[in-house]
Amino acid sequence: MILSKSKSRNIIERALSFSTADEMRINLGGGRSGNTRFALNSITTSGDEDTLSIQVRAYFGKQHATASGTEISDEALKRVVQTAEDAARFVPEDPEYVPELGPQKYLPIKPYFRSTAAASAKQRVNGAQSSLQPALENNLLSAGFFTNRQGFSAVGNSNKLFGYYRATNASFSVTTRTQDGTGSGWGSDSSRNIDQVDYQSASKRALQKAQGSSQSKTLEPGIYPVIMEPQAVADFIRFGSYAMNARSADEGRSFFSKAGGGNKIGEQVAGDNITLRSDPTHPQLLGGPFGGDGLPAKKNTWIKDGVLQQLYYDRYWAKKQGIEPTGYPSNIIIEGEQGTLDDLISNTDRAVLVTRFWYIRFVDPQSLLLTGLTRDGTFWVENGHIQHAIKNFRFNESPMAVLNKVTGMSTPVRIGGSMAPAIRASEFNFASLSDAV
Amino acid sequence: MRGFLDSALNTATSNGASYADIRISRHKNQSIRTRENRVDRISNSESYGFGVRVLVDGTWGFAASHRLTKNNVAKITRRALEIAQANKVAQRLPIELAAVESYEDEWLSPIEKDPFQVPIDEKIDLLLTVNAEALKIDGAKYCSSSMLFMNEEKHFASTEGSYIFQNIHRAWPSFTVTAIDMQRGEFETRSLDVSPMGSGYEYVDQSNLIEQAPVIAAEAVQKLTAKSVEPGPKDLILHPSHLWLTIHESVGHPTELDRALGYEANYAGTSFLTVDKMGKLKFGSDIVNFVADKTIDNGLATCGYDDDGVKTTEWHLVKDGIFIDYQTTRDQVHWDEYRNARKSAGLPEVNHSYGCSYGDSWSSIPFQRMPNIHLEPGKESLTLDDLIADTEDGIYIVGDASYSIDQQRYNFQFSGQSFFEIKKGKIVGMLKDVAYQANTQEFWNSCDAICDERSWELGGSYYDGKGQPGQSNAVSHGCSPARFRKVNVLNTQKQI
Repeated sequence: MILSKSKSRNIIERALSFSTADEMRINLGGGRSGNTRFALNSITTSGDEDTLSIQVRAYFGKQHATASGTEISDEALKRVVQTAEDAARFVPEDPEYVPELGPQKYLPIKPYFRSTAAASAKQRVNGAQSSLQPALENNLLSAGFFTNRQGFSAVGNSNKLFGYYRATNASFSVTTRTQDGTGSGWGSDSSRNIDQVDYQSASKRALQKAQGSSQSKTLEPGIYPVIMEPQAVADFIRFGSYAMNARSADEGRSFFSKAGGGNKIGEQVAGDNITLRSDPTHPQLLGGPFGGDGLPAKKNTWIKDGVLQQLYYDRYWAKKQGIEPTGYPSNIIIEGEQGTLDDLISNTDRAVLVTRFWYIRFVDPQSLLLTGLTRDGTFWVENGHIQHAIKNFRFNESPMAVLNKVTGMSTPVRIGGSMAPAIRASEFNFASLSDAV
Repeated sequence: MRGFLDSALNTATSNGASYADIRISRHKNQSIRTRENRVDRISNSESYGFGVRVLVDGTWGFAASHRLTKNNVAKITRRALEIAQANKVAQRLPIELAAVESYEDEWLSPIEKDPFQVPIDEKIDLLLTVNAEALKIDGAKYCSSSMLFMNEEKHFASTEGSYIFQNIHRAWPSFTVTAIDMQRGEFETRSLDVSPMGSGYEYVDQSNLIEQAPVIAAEAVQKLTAKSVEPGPKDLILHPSHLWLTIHESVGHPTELDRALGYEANYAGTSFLTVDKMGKLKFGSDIVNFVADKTIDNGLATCGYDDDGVKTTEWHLVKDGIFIDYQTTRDQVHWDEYRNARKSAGLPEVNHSYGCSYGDSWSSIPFQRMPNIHLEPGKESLTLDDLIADTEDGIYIVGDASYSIDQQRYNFQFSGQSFFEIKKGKIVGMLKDVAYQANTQEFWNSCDAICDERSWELGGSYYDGKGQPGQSNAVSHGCSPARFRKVNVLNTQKQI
């Protein structure tokens, strides 16, 4: 369910009017989304969801608790307010209590596109056909997913804070496989604006990778130079960004903790060609203007020229340290260099080329060691050309180790909520072979 | 309620649907999280709505809404019909449904104490006491603890004539202790080995959280100075608190029939257990037997009926080491590949669903989800102590931690919470930096001993992900401690 700004304000004010608490925050959100799945060259399931949620956070002094529901009648609003208040009365005082925010100024971001909101099941089927028809013509198997969503988010509190925005998103992904199961390729694209979702190119990439990966050779596991395509980079580096919490670092339980106490802000943590930042106004990403607590989304530079500039500070930890909160990273932008993936390949003597990774998990938070596997097209590059497909690998590697060994990058492209380049690094630990295709 | 249910079914059938079902459900969650001496967050959430699924000319359509009114039920049903119509153009594999009996029934989780009725201050007191007891251990610096309770109240009706009500409860108390050596800049964590369970608050009472707090905290501290493992092939003894996850990833997912045939290729992947291997593949050693079930007491996936309205049951996936069957739903049983493979392997014909359909919310499309899957206990008398005494050079692993497996379920890597070195039949000390890597089939064929039913336990997860859009399924896995010969052990320490 999409509620307008005025209707949202009205519901929030009604909920607040039922409050007996000292402070209260209301988060209201909802939307309508449609999705279409396909596999084995046929549509499988397809759905449409109409949702709404209201969350109430009640405070009595420094005691607080939260309750949420999906109904907005007066009776339902009274019930959810009372549930939050009843719980809050039993909670001990929170020594980390921070008062609710007052009115805020938000960046003028509009992550909403009418075209996405209006997209129909028929339109999604047309997108699916961009892969289904060529798969049938080439005796391949196609499986994929196309979804579009429109939603809204509103926040208001008893300190006169109010924020509202609408957002849309559309996402297409496809896996194409050979009939004998020896080749697999993948492609995807997503955008706030469905008209910019290039499903034709994604389908073409998946088909070409499936055909190109079917005659794979075995390369023994070991440490090799690597070229990670943008999707692989986005998925791998994302795990590094999860560790950028200032409090964990200050408490001594993070890669970003300093031996003897404190954190590594100001220290060189990556190669001097590495810059990581967040920008909710980036035209290709367009984040939400505020977070759940109503704090404005901000532009932040996390790593500049390899030096750690900033960690993520929530309102409590920032207050304790006497600094401004950063807001949670609205997206991750990895600055790249000029050039394409093909340029990078043509300037490479030898490397493993990775289309994407799968099942990445932390192994050791101390070193940010991750494990995972390559998937949907892994190739051997030599003398500036892709020579042949190779079998998939399991890796055990740390993004922070790799960011110290980057020898080349392409221009960043949009990958979900990130801007990521293809990256070439001098060493990457491929630990064992996988028979999976 | 019956009026809403019938409205959807009547609207569907009078507009061309050959089958329809509706689920009206209320999902309640309570989450209490604390750290050290403070309550981090208390949250009570509730979600209420309905989802209608229709089959038109062999094509599925689904629509859902949070607004339960008679008019809206009819409107949303028509929306589901429109979606099915729109998709017909690209439908090349028409859906058929296996026969099912009709039921008018209700099923309730057999809980003793409703978690939502237990006062919040009692829960907070328990968690803060756990934290305090853990932090009394010298070197234990932080402790986070939590309780998560789930409740699904679900009305189901289908055009097969079924009207089913189910009330399902799940509970999960947990805590994690962090020990820190600030001068060396090193830290270790240790989480409690208590899995979520299909139980009420009595499970919290039985979990002995306060007694376990100092034990777990002491192990976190001990890990800081434990010996770093020497990599290489080792005999592993895996405790149920660890082995459940290896079963889940290497047995549970590859035996999903939709994965095996390619329906999940774009996300979770396919399966090395292709249908031609049914009845033939030596999945594990002769002592390895896996049973799938949705009926065991306290199982997270346990219920009376699945979301196709099929009465739940149990069946073998692996018998005497041979892979013999899959997990199925009503719309999978007719698949030729499955039926023909069973026939050619000389396996009995299966004309009914095993009841594995589940949608994690009223707004989610039901599809094939994992039932509880168990490793049957060893038939010979064998305790954990016997097994350790019988092991010359090995590692005993307790608790689950890092886990990863490829998209066809061949190659996996697991770590754990605590690792104990075994030399000449005795535990001689603690190890750290341990992970093991193996191939599924080689691993289960290296299983040479399984303890008997006396040490059989359920483990499990609230959050098994599958599908697009992603859905979460709660599932349990039971097993006794078991031994695996010469598994490749890695040292995961890395200097940057």
